[in-house]
Amino acid sequence: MNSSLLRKLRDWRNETAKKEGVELFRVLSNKTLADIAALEPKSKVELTNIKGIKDKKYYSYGREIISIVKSCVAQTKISFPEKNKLSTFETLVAEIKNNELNEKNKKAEINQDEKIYSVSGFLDYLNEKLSSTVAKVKGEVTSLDEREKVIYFGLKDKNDESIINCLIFRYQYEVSGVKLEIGNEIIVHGYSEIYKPYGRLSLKTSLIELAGEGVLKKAYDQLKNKLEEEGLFSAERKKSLPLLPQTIGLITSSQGAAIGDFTTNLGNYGFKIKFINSSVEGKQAVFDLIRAIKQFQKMENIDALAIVRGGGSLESLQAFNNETLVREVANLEIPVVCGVGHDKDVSLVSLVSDLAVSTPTAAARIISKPWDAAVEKINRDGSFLINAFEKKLYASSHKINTLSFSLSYNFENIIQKFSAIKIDFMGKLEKIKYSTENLTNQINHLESLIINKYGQLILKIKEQIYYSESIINFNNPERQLKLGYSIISLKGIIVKSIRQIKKGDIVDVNISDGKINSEVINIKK
Amino acid sequence: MEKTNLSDSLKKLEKIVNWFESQKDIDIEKGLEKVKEGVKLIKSSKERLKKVENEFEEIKKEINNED
Repeated sequence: MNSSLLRKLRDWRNETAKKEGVELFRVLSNKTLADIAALEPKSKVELTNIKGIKDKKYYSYGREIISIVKSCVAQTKISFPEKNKLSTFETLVAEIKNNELNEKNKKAEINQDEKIYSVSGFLDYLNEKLSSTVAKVKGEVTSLDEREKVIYFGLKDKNDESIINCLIFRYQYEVSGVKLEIGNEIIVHGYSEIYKPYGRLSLKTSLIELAGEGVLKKAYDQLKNKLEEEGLFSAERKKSLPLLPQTIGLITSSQGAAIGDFTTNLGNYGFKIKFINSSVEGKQAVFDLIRAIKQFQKMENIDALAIVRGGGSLESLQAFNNETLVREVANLEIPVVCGVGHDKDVSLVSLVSDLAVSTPTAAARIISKPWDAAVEKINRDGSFLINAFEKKLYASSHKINTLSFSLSYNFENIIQKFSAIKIDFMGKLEKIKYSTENLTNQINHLESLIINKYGQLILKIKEQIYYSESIINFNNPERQLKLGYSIISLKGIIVKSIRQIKKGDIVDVNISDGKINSEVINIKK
Repeated sequence: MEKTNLSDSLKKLEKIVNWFESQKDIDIEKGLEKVKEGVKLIKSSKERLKKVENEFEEIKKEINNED
């Protein structure tokens, strides 16, 4: 199965269902889409053979489906030689094959000349041819018939009576943002198709734009006033950018200079850019732009959306003055930075955007500016932090020095005081010692004094005793008797003279060991 | 043995000595009594004095040892 084809078919189916305001399966079921992708039908017969596609469906979508199939299959073929540009041989072979294919197609066409068509078949054949006649046509609106889903109108040539019937689906009409009024000169984009039940040719319009600068300017002013009155451009509606946006959505054309201007001026702040390619030129760009915006609306974590393109005339910037697009932008929750250049009048998308500048470069600058500021702030704060820290450090070390100085000073003081006390104490000790010694001396002195005195006393006593002894011994009468002396007493009286006695007296003679009684015999003188 | 009081003994001895020196004629009996008393006092005084001397010497030694 051709999966890229299936993807394209599905996109087309979803888009179509949306345009017509019906459920997806009302257009084509998934099963039918898969069958188409598998069989790659390139003609009505091939397509109507697929289950789910009957005449009615074929009439509505047949040509579109076939053109999608053809474009997709052709693309895969063309891409083959491109991939191998260097190999001239292979390119040659591919070209030859392509030529062969073209030859075959030509033959088929010739065959078809001889073929007899049914009316229906012929109209199908014509419609298939007509599907490639996409064109822009300018004319005046002559009739108007607005239905629920489709608007029918007639377009008349300005110079002659030529007329063509046109139809446009409601969605595309609304996106075009041009109110059809009889007599207006407009330009329509589309291709022709024959409506089989009536055999009538009409221009299937996909986009309507106003013709002429003056008309454009008038429409611009009207829409601007209308939206302004609604308050769509008011300052209080503006969202501000996040402090430091990181993921940036970008809508612009991959072809123009704007994309380069934007990305090179964004700066190296590690932005993630989600880019959705969109045409930006002319009115037809409006569909692309709306699709891109809707895609971003579904995405998460987009910090800011940038819509940029270079400057241009009012005509080339028509898409940016489209009401539907302006409303889509207004409804976005993501803050929008618009960098769309302008000649004289600022585009309405710029006015409705949250931030508007006039170049893609300026848009990039607005987004990267807070980063510049942040980096500058980090640098500034960083050096401030270091300075402050150094100051603190210096203050601390100064304080420590002061403290340690005063500490050592006080400590020295203490030591000095201490040594003074010590000296004082030593002096006192000395005094105590001195007085103790003094006392000891005194005691010793007293001691020797006592001893001497007492010794003398003892000696004196001794002398006294000996003296007494000698006296007593001397006076002891027994001593005389022992020496042989005797004591004579008469009647108890010691006889000391001859007068005490007379002849014949009996006297007691006491000697050392007894008494002798003696008679006085003679007395001599 | 009753402790001899040296001072008392000396006083008594002094009295005895004085007694002898004051007498012109010494009564033999009385003199003998005094002598006997004196001899007794001298003997006890000498003993006491000896003891005091010894104690004094001891004390002196102790004092010298303390130095």
